[in-house]
Amino acid sequence: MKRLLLSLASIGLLVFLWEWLYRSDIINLFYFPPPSQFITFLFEENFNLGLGPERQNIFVSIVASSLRVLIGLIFSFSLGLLIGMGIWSIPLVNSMMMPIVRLFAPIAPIAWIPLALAIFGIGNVSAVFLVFMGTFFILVIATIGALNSIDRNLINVAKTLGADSSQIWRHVIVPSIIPNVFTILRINFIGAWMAVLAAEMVGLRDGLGAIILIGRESSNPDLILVGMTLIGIVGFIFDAFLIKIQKRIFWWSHINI
Amino acid sequence: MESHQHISTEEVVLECKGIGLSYKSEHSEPVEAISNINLSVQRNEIVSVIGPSGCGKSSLLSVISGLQAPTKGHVIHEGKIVTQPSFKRSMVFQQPHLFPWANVYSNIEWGLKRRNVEKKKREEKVKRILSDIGLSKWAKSYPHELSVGMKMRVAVGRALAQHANLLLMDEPFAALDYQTRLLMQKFMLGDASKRTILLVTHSIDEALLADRVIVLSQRPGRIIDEVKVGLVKPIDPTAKKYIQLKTYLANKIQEEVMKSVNDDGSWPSAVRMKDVWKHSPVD
Ligand SMILES: Nc1ncnc2c1ncn2[C@@H]1O[C@H](COP(=O)(O)OP(=O)(O)OP(=O)(O)O)[C@@H](O)[C@H]1O
Ligand SMILES: [Mg+2]
Repeated sequence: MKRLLLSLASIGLLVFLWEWLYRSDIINLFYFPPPSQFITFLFEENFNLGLGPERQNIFVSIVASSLRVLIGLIFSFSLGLLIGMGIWSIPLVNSMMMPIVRLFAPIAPIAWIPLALAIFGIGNVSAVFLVFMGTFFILVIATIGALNSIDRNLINVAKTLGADSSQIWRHVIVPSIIPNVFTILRINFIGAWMAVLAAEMVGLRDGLGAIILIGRESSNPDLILVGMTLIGIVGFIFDAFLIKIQKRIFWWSHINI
Repeated sequence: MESHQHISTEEVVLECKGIGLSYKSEHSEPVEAISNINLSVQRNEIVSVIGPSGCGKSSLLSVISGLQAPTKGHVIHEGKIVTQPSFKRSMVFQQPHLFPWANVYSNIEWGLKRRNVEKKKREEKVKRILSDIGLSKWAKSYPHELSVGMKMRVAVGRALAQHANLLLMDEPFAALDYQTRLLMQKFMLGDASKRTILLVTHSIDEALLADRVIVLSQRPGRIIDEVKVGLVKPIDPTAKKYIQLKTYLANKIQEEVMKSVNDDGSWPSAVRMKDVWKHSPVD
C-alpha cells in the first residue's frame, strides 16, 4: 500500500512538472502537450481517434494490439515448449536443429516486419506472426536449457513410484521446466509488444501504434501523446498480468528444495 | 571376517548375486563403487547396511531399486531379475526429493494417482499415512514450507503409500531430531511393522533395530561382516549383549574408516579423537 502510494506520488510529481513546464516559458512544449491537454482532447473526440475511414474507438485499438500480442505469445509459448521438448528428446535432431534455432533467435522481432508483410500482407496474421517469430526461437532455447538442467532425482523418484515415461513427461518434466520458460517469455514480452506497435505504424494502420502514426501524419501532438501514454499503460498492465501468472500459477520457479 | 551365506527355508524376497557397479567418468578413471555383493533378504526381515561414508551404500540401493544397472551380477526381486525400477520396490532417497509444485498430500498420493488407484482408496491411505508420520496438519503445505526433517518424513510417507513388499531406505531418519527419530523408528522398525526393509544407516543404534546388520568395507564396498542381531524387542540399551554388539560394530567401522582417510592411514590432525573424547564414543 505504501509502495503504491509512493509510485502514484512519483507519477503525480512527473505530471505536475510537465504541466508547469508547458505553461511556463522556459521551453516550448508545443509538441509535447501535458495530460490536461491530451486527455481533454480524448474526451472531446469521444474516445474515437483517427481520420475518415481509419477513425476508431480507442478501446478497439487497445483490444486489437493486446490480442495480437497475446495470441502470438500463446502460440510461441506452447509451440516453443513442444518443439523444444521434441528437439531435446531426440539427440540427432537436437544437434541438427540447435544451430538453426540459435541462428534465428537473435533476430529482433521488429526485423521480421518486412517479411511478415510480404508473406501475410496487411492484417492480424502478420502481427501475430511477428510476435511468434520474435519469441519462438528464444523459447525453444529456453526450453532446451531448462530440460538440460532438470533435477534427475525427481525423475528417479517418479520411476520408483511406478510412473511410465509419458507420465514422467507430463507430471515431472513439464512442471519442472514450465516456470523457467515462462520467465523467459515474460522477459521477451517487451520485444514482442514493440514489434506489434511498429507493425501497426508501418502497415496495419490500426491498433495503438497506428494512433501515433496518424497523429504524426496529421501533425496532431495530442494524438501522438494519447498513443504513447496508452502504449505505456497497456504494456505495463500486460507485464503486471504476466508477473501475476508467474507468481500465482508458476510460483515454484525460484524455489529450491 | 566371516562371510556366511544365508541359507534358509523362509521365503526370499530379495537376492543380490555378485553385484558390482563402476561409474564411468569423463574426466577420470572409472570409479568402482561396490564389488561382489551377495545378499538375500527374507520376507518381513529388516536388514541394515552400515559402512564408511562413500563406501557405496547409496549405490547399492540404487542398483537394487533398478535405477542403475549393475556392471556385474544381478538383482532378483520376488523371483524376477530386476531390469528397471518398479513401484513394488519403494525407495526412500538420502534426500527428500519432493515435488516442489505439489503439496504434502499430493506428494504422498503421487504414485497411487499415477497407477490409477481409486480416489476413495487413495484418500483413505494418504490420510492414514499422514497421521502415521505425524503431519496431518500439514497436508496442504508445500515442501518449501517444511523443515528438512518434515520433508524427510513426507518422503518416507510417499514411499510407504506404494504398499510395496520391499522398502529400500537410505538414511531416512538421519535428519530428524532425536525425539521424532525415536517415533519414526518405532513406527517403521518396531515389531508390529511387518515390512521387508533394507535400511542404510550411519547410526549403529538404529542398525541394531534390524534383524541383521551388514557391514560394508571402504570403497569399493564389499560385505566384510554380517551380524545376526537377535535382540528381543523392546530392546534394553543397557543389556550386556546390546553393548557388546554395539562395541563390536563400532570398532569394525572404525577400523574400516581408518583405512580410508589419508594415504598413510593417519587422521587429519584436526580430528584427533582423543582431543574430544576420553574413550572413543560408541555411536
Ligand atoms: N553418479 C555418480 N557418478 C560417479 N561416481 C559416483 C556417483 N555416485 C556415487 N559415486 C561414487 O561412488 C562412491 C560411492 O558413493 P555412494 O553415494 O554410493 O556412497 P555412500 O556409501 O552412500 O556414502 P554416504 O554414506 O556418504 O552417503 C563414491 O566414491 C562416489 O564418489
Ligand atoms: Mg549415501
